[in-house]
Amino acid sequence: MSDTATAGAKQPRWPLRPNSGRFAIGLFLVALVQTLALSWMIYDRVTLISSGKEIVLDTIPVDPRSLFRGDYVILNYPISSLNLTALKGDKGLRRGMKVFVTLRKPYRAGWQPVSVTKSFPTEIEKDHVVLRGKVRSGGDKNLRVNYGIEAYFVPEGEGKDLERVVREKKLQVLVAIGTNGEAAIKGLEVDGKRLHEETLF
Amino acid sequence: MIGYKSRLARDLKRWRDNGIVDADTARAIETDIAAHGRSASLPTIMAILGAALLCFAAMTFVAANWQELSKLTRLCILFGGLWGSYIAAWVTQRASMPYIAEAAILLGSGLFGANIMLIAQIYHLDGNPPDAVFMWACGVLLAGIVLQSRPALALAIVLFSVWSWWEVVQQGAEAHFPFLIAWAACAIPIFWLRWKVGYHLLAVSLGGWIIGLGYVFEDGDLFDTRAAHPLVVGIGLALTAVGIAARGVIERWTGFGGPFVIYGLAVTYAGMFAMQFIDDTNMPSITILALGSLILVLGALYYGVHIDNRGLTRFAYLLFCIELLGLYFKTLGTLLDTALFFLIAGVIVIVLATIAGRLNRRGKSGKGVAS
Repeated sequence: MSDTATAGAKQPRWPLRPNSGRFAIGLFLVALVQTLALSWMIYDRVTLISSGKEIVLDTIPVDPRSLFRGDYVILNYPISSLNLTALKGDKGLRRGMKVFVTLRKPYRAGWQPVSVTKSFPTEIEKDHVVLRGKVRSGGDKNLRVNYGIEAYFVPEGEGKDLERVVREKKLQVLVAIGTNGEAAIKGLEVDGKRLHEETLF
Repeated sequence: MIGYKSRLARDLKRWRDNGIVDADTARAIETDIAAHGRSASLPTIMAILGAALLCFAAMTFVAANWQELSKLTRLCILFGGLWGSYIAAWVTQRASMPYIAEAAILLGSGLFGANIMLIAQIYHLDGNPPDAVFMWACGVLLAGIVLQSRPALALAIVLFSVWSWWEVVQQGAEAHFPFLIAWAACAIPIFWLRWKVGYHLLAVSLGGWIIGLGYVFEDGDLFDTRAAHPLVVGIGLALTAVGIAARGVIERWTGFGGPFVIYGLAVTYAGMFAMQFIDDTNMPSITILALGSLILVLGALYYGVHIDNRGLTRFAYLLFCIELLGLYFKTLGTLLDTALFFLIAGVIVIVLATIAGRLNRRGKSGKGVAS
């Protein structure tokens, strides 16, 4: 590389700074926009948890560790694996697509999928709920779907304990569902008793 | 810049010893270079490294999972850290410590990402992880543009590259075209700042994305898989051709004429390498591709010597070595074939070297006659 390469280009002095007043306004603007973005994330979750429709889903935990997000348990749901031959809805669903899974709850049984569609269903029966998810893998017959409620963060080292507690018992997840199908974890239940319940703040 | 300074000092000493430059002129040149040379100073590097360490500290803090604190306290710490960084940038800027201010901006940008992860943890948010990286990258790009912060712009390019790679991994094999919009959004401020390191980062990220095209397409996508690596070669050749044809214009506008050709060559060769050594290619095709690669490398070597571009010349040498090693491992087991190939390649290279030498001498004598 020629070191005289920049000879023809007009070089601004470094560090190029506006006067301190404009720099202060710039800093304020950046901090404000970043704060608003983070606040929007929090507002979205808090609204969903406080006003979403509650359902209780059966689950089976596994315990990995995320590099940046501390200990957490991965939660698998029966509704994560869908047998498309037994369901109504759209065809041609591919990995990465957004899908809407309609669930219904038969008497004394867990929530079960009824249909899978590419867009939010126009008509929903009274005892049905719609969950928004993303296709993780699969094709025309079977589908793996993530709903964004597959991780539950626990204090460092407690992931294994939680798994031990629920090994012999039935673990369920209390989920809040928004009007657009978005889901958020609201708490955990073991044998019908609340184990962890999320506070808003 | 450091390399340029030491090379110039060495040359100056020789010119002074040979009487080409007198002592006063040599001293004047040294003074000028010392006054105008922009080498990365130790305080800058240390301040940036310090900011990076603080960002990692914040992320590890996340991993420690601080359940003893209430959510509200945690959120106050998050926002406090973010605003604290930018206030520190303002205070240090006013105190004429621009390098520390730069590090504080980088710290704020890093903390913005750590805060996204923390909020995801606090509210058990497990959506699409690349979305979080995209949000982080947008926030950092904003800081880079508004505050004209080069480290923030560099971080934004890295984050957008991670976002694109993650999207491809998550979605399965598919080209991720939105990356090009994000890349352009980073390129505009870097072009405006005429930042040479930034040009390199842009070239590496775009080059990586183009090379990645060779691996992400599957049958049934835009075209057949077998056409993917040739597409990369085609784009690389086009970029190299543009770099050669418009060298003067690129040099005048960006000062990036030399490296532009090198990156074009890198993309071209990456595609050819994949066709020869990664794809399931038969021996006759490999022989043709290997000859093509050698012609490409020798052409680059000749052009590098012709325009006195040391970087291009060294890069061509490197590619030459990679090609020979690749061929050696590919044909290992059939020693006779390997020996035959190296014999033919060796003869071709020596013949080309002889021709190049004659051309060079003819060129020099022509110039001598003209002058």
